[in-house]
Amino acid sequence: MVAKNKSSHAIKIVVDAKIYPLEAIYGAAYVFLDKAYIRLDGDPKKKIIVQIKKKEGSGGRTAEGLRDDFLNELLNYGLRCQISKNNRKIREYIVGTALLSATWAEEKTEKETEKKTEKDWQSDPLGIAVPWEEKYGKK
Amino acid sequence: MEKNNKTVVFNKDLYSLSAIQKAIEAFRGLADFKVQTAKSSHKVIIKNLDQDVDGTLEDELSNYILAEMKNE
Repeated sequence: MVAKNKSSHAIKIVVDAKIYPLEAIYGAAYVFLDKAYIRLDGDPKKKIIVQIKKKEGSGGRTAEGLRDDFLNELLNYGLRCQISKNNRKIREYIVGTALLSATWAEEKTEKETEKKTEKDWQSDPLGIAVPWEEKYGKK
Repeated sequence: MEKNNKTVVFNKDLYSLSAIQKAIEAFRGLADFKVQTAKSSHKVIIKNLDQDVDGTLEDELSNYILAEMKNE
């Protein structure tokens, strides 16, 4: 699954693309961009070569330590991708239902407000429809 | 100030042209860049590279492009 080769300054990791999707490799690499220089090569359908070169002054972690951390992170992102893939349909269903419910609720509120406004107007709360004579006529 | 020229090759299947172009735009002030697309790779030719950033620019550029790939 994973093989390790070491050159003078960089460590190369060969990742099996059938086990770890490209998305997981990007995700894991992103975590290390402040500590190391990462380069990718290879065939996304077969094997991807990840080259990790430690940055100068990036702390006490050795290149081998970074390699091991990267492998752990790769496992983490691989799992996240798998869970995301498994839950995709139910996630879309939940979000879709929530949005639809919000739309129904909004429409219902608008209709109720419209009815109330119409009713208020007909009841003439300000007494506008009352003739002047009737309101202020001699007593 | 001495100027150096370098070429960095990116695998087309792993690095997109749009991510490379965004990175070049961000690094524009540090060197002159040109992109050539071949069958399986994008080549970034770096010219008039400032000596102050020589040795690290290619690596920083690669990291920037990788960050852009994650966001795509």
